[in-house]
Amino acid sequence: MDCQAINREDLAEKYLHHRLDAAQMDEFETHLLECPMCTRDLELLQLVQADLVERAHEIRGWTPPKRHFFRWQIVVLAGIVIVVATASLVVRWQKMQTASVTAPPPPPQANPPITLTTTQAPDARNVEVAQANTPNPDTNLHNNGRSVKSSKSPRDISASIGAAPTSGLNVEGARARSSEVSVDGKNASDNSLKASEQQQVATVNSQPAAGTAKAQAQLTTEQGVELYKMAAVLPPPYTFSGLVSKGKLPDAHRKGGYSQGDTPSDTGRQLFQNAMAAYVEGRYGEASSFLEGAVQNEPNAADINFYLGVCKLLLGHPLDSIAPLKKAAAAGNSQYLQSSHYYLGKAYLQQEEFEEAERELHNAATVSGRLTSEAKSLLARTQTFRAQLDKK
Amino acid sequence: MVTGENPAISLSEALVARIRSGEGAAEEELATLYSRPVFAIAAARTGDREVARDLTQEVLMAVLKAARNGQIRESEKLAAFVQGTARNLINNYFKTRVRRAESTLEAAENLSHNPVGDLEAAERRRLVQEELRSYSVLDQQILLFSLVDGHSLAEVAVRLKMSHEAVRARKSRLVRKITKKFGELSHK
Repeated sequence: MDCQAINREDLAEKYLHHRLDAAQMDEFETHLLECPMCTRDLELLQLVQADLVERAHEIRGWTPPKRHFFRWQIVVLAGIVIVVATASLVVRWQKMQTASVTAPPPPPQANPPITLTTTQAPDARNVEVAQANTPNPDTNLHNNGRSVKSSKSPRDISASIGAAPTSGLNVEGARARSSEVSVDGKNASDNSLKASEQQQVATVNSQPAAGTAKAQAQLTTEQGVELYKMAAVLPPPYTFSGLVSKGKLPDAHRKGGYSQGDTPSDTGRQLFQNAMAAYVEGRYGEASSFLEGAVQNEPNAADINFYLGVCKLLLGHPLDSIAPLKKAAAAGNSQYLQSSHYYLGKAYLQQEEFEEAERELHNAATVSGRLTSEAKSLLARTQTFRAQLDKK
Repeated sequence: MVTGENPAISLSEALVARIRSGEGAAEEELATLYSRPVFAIAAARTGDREVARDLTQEVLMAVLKAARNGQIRESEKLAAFVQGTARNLINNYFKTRVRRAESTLEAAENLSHNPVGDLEAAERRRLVQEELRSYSVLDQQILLFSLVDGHSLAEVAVRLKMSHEAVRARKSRLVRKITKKFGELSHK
């Protein structure tokens, strides 16, 4: 046995714990008697042992710190850092997306018009506002052919174009869902919000209108807002008098509903009544379907055509509204004559066909009725607006 | 019989020869040479320092007596003879459990009384205690569990919720540190 083996195999410690067999013990002890160095090491171990035994109780009483708690802290901290970093990345990404949508004006296309419709229900109980009922000066209007921008407010009034939320009116989608809220919660199917007045702003581009140079011009924020206001449509009132029994129609209908030579069809009237029931409740899509059925039975009926055109406008299809409104206007001296011209003017405004809009508004203004003053006022505004555009 | 090859063996042979010839200094020399290892052995085997002290005296006296009487046949193996004597006496102690503090030999008093050695041992003990107290509690626990309780390093690691490697490294470092520090001290 030599010193190296003793150190290597911790024989001194094993010896102190009586873990050596008899032969190993004799050999180790014989080595100790010949080796002062190993004796000294053994003595040291014995001294250490003795001192530790004396203070064993004190040393055992100490508890190591809870390391797990520290590890949990690190894990929680790391989690928070990851969440914050991810959130900031998402926010940045969204900002970049917004910038990429709004910054470069896209190449001009075939006159995609802005369609803005505000409707006013005749029945104050059923009032729906699909989107902001008044134009916000800070609202951004986006169109393929034009854009109206404002950096003041990032708030949306419509759904976005593209993946990330953007500011501006959606000219591509049917109806913007993001900013529509149902106040009373009764009728959420058409994403509308009921208020004291039934107003609806639908931002739709159903079909591109014929391309014009004006449509590709850049509008300022103020011009966009002005156009929005001018083109906004409130639903004309309809006094619902209940379902009409067979062969007995309300006087109003008899008076202005048919053109001469038409024979009112029971089916057509029934469909019209159904349509009006839906119209009064603000279900313009349903009303439009009934009216389309009714107009097949009574193609020249002024009332059917008028409300069909109005429904199309309210649904955000100004181009589709022009034909029935023209028919209603062509019916002659009916109670819908002035209204037909007036709403035709609105439809043309939404199509940004200002010349036609001015003509129809002028026709409406020349007829005496409840819309005369409104038509005059709108005509003046349209003329001013057009003059401003022409200046550019 | 001096072999001339192993100085330790030659030394022990000469020492035995000198004791047998009645040289008092030689007996003192033998006692100085073996008292510490014999005490360490007795302390390790009995776990009682007082008993170890008594047993050390007995062992040394028995070896001296054997040397004087020429009973050590292989004098070159003096260490083995001392170890055998110590083992037998310690075993006898365990058998009888009787302390044999009294000795009839006159030399026993001289052998047992070494005030310088006692002072040195006390000083060494104090320094070791001081050194141990300077260690962290964790280090002291590692030493306690391994050197006193006799736990393996794996058991200590589990008990202290540490890795086996960490415990091994710490203990190795501590023992090396103590050995180096007090080894140098004892050489001065």
